[in-house]
Amino acid sequence: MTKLQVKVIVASIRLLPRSFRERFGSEMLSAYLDQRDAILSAARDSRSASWRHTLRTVAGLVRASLAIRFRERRREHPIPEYRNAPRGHPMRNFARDTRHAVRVLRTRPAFAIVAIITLALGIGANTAVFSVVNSVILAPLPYDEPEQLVRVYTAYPTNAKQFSTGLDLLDIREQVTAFASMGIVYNYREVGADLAMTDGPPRRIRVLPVSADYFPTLRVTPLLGRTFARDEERGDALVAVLSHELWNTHMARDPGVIGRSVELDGVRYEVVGVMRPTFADPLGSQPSVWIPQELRPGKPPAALALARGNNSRQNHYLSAIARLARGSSVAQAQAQVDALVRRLKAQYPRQYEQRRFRVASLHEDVVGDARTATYVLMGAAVLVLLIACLNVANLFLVRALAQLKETAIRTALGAARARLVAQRLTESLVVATAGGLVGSVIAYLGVKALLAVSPESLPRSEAVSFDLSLLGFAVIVTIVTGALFGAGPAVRASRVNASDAMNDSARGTTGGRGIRQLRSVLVTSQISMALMLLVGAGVLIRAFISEQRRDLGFSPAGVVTFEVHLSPMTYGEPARRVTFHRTYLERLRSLPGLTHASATSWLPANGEYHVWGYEYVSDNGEPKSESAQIRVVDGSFLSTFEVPLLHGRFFDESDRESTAQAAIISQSLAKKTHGEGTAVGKVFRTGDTTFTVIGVVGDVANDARGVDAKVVYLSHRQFASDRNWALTYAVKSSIPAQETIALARGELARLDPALVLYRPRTMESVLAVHHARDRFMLLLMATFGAIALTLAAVGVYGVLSYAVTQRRREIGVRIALGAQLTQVRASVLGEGLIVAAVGVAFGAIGALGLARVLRSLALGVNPHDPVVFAIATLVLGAVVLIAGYLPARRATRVNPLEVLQSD
Amino acid sequence: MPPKATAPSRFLPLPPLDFQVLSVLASRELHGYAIVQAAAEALPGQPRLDVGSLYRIISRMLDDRLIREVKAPRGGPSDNRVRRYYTATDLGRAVARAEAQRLQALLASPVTLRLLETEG
Repeated sequence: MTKLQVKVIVASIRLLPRSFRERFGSEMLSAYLDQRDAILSAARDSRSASWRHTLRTVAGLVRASLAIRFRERRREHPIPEYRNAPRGHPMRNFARDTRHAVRVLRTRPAFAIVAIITLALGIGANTAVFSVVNSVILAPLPYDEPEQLVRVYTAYPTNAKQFSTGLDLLDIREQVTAFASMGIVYNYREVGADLAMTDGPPRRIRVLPVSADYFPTLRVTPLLGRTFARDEERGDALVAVLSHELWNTHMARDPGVIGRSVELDGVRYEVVGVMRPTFADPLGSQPSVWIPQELRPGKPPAALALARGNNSRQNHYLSAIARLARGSSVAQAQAQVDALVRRLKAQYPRQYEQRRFRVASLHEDVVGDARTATYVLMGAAVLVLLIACLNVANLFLVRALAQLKETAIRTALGAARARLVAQRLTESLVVATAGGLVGSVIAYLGVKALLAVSPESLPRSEAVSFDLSLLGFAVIVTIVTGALFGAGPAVRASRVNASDAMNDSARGTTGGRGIRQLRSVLVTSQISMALMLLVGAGVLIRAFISEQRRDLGFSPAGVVTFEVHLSPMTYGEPARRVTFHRTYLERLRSLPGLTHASATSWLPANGEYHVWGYEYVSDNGEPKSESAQIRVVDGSFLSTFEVPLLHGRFFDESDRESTAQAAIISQSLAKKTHGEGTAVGKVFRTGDTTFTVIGVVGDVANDARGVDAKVVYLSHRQFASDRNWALTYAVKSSIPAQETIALARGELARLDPALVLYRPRTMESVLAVHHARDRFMLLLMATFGAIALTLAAVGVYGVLSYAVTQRRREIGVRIALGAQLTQVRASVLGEGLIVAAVGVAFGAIGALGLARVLRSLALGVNPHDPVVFAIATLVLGAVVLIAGYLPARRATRVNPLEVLQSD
Repeated sequence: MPPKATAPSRFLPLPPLDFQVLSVLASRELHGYAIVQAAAEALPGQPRLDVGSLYRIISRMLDDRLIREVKAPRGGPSDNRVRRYYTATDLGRAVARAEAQRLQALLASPVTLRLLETEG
């Protein structure tokens, strides 16, 4: 037992530093034994007492060992003291280092400016992109407790975000207890109204019909008056809530506005409330007036066109926003709507065969697929920043080489490495701070420019702003950046051997070979990241080009569009509407320069709209059902858009109100139902009416990037009684769009001065809206790619020209010995190309990974497109060659005599 | 050559364990365990010295010239265990005295007295 204790103590003594052990070791053992003897003779339970003593001694020895070692280290590496400087407080050191850094940087303005601009580009790009991420994706929606807000969709296997029927939403509102409240919105299409003005023609404004719970669900209260009550959820409740903007412009901020009225489409609505200026509709429309939505079952009287609502179990046209009850989750709400749909299915098996309801977080819904796009941009911006950091690190390494001697002397004089590193880091922080300041300005201007270029490209883009949190972000990026590019060179440069450094520079050969290798590694990384960005940009460019070139099935060239909405008061009679449109089309056609005039209920390539059932009997006698989109047209629709007529004929004067209902179907619908050639003459039912197919026309795209749509064209003249169709005019002319619009507006005023020519646009700009986000992405990726390319070129140039300076002697000797100039050039360029090749190899691997993400953005384009990879590599290779050629040419100018004499 | 006269105040305040060692060596010449024993007897209620701390303190005080090694006195234990004897130098005694005075002044201060009074 005692032997074991002694062994433990001896082992513990071994923990002590050797010098200490040799001096006191045996003495310590004696003291331990003396003490143990005393304990053994005194204590009753001597065995456990002696073990306690042993363990206490071991603990003391361990403690002593640590304390002694720490003390020795301190003695060997004392906290450095500069001569003539008291050992500084860290903050005082920092202040002194900062002053020193500014002084040093001012002596070399070119270096400082290049470094600052490089970093400013990186920091600016990141801050700009982050400002978008911050306000579009991260920021909560501007409502009270926004996390409780959800959207309720009707979902079908083919469309997970279908609109809902009025009766379904009423059931949900009554039966789903997981919702505290639910607002119902008519936003199937934009509801507009002509607002009567006291002075001059009416103004077209946006109107949003909503249920009574819409405002309470969003927890907003009006600035003046009240919102709607449940018993006002009917089209004939003529009450209105004005937007703050309309109250401002139309009512001159009249505080007594409540009780006054506004005239919308010839109907007087009583103003019951005015909203606050901060309130914005979450679904993106910016209405000027809110009116109650019709929610009674059945079809309302036709006169109430504004708040029209056909509430059945079949008419999908409403949207809903609900607020979860306190303590309820999305999953609980989902479970309750699932239970509801099961009950409905039991009641109406056929209609609810495939129908589901879906509850989704409103934030998720609004941000939607902008998320991926934004994160790709963020990633690209980070790559740009990394490249910028590498470039500046490279610059700092060059300086570190120049300062090798100074560093060596200072180390030899006893300067501590920590202090030297701190000083270098301070220098990089000063540069980063300046870069951050300039970068913030770039970011501020950049965000403004981005939004100006592409305002429709982002959801919630109105929320994008430049605020304090961004500045905080810029500060953090700056500090991280400073540390990133500063630490490497600082640590590397401080690790110099004094005598080596002196000899090295004295001999004038390759000083700091390690540093040169490090620089090559940096440039290699730069090139690989630049390649990733170039491939990313390339994939997007190809996607964009192929999208632009996609055959939409019609020609938008020279087509100008505008909307004309007929007031239900004046044009309540279908015959009057038919006459108006026919007359106006006739007058348009007579205008100078106008070659074709037509009107349609929905423009082509403008998204899905009016999907109706298409019931027909198949060729073998089976009743079948398809779905197709209904377009009500008037005038020479086909020739305006250059859609080809494939079979049969187009509508003509023989298709009157009294003759058989005629329809023209698109090629894909004809193929799907009866076969392209045999479809003419067949009949089908849609919207409770039987139609006869009189012609088959070419397919047009469903949207600007989408697939062909199955379309049924109906004649407005024959179908005007179904509803007051809001027609969009499309005219083709050989004169500039602005003149066409002016002429059309004049003609409209002559025909009926109460009508508004609304939203005049060229067909090309209608399509451009759909390309906006792609263009936005493309622009940014291309910019990032260009920056990356430039920075990579600067990096290659820097490394090669330094290498030439270093190798002057060797090159001089080779030239003196008769080497060909081309050989010399090739050897310099070769070095650059090796660096580039390695970079390209790594970059290609990275780009393959990046491409995976891009696949979700670039529809229909192979993200591993070899052409894109090849072009990106070629571009990069060319830039590297150019960047390397300049130093290579300089190498051949080396005068051997001079070089050899200079030593 | 000793560097230069060192003021005892430079060492103040003395860590408690250092004070134990220095105060028992101020008047006597003692070896390792004897120091522990003497300190425990003379200063009851103080933290007990362990071997590791003891020799760390001895090593430091030798370096600081607060104590010195002396020849083994006659009448010590006579087995084959290695024992070295130490005693305080003049500087060491001065430091111990200065620390004792510091503690005394501390105890005599009205603030401390009030603390002691309220405790009783």
